Amino acid sequence: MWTWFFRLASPPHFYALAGKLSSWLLIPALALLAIGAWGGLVLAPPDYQQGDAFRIIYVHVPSAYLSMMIYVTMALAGAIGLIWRIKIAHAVAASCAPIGASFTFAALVTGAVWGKPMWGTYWEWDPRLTSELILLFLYFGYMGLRGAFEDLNQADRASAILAVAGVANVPIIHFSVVWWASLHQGPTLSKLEAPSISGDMLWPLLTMILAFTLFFLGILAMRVRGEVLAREFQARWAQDVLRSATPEGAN
Amino acid sequence: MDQSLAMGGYAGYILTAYGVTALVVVGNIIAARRRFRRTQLRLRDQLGRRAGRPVGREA
Repeated sequence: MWTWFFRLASPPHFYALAGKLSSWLLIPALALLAIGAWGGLVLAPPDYQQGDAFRIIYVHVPSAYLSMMIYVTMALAGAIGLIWRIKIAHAVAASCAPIGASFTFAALVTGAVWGKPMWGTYWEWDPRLTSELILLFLYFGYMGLRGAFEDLNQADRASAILAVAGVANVPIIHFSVVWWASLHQGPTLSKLEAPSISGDMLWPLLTMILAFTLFFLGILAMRVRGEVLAREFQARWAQDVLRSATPEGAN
Repeated sequence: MDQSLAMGGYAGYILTAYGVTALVVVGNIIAARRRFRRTQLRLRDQLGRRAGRPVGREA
């Protein structure tokens, strides 16, 4: 287990692995996205209360889930980088931020577009919506803080501390619909209870969640490669990679 | 057919949500590829300039 962990932390090994993983993950992710979107838009029956508007669930829930999951990944990677001083971990954390910000934005917009026909408004200062907006600001803050430092080590440390501190917002987002009176509906999927959604509506949702997860991992692998290469520029292996690379970046 | 395309009158909302998500997905692919390519070109350029420099002038 530890051998595998330390082998993974080796930059040349990680770089090569990330290159393979990005295409292995992105191709099935895009195929599953197409299947899930077809299932959600065409095959799933309309909801008895929300009619066809409920179909937004198939892009809103996976985006919202990813926005939180990516933040937790970023905070964990930041913590690993802080504690064990593993450079790859900081590279992973830095690569998570723009992906997480984009899916938080998607969750907010798709939620607003769903809110208009259901609640009569695009936006309400509701605990779930507000805490999700704070998550977007945390991502922006993280990226801004990284950009504010010229020294990479200082940027890594400061941004990791912000990521770890900000992770407290994730349980607030998740449990906001339970802790406070909220316009937002309760959880559709729960680990402890049976899902409150029928099977023919559930499978496209699970397909989309799997597709989004694979997509995130594929994009993360792609971004981390560049980050590792830039950080390891002085190392011989990185210079060998650069000398043998094609200009299109296929290597 | 028209009724199913109208999606119960919610087609505008549904297609906007799916459209924004599709843009985010495609945007992530383009941004990640472009960033990797730019990093690679920048580093190759640095490597080339360094190789062209006389020995001893490196910081």
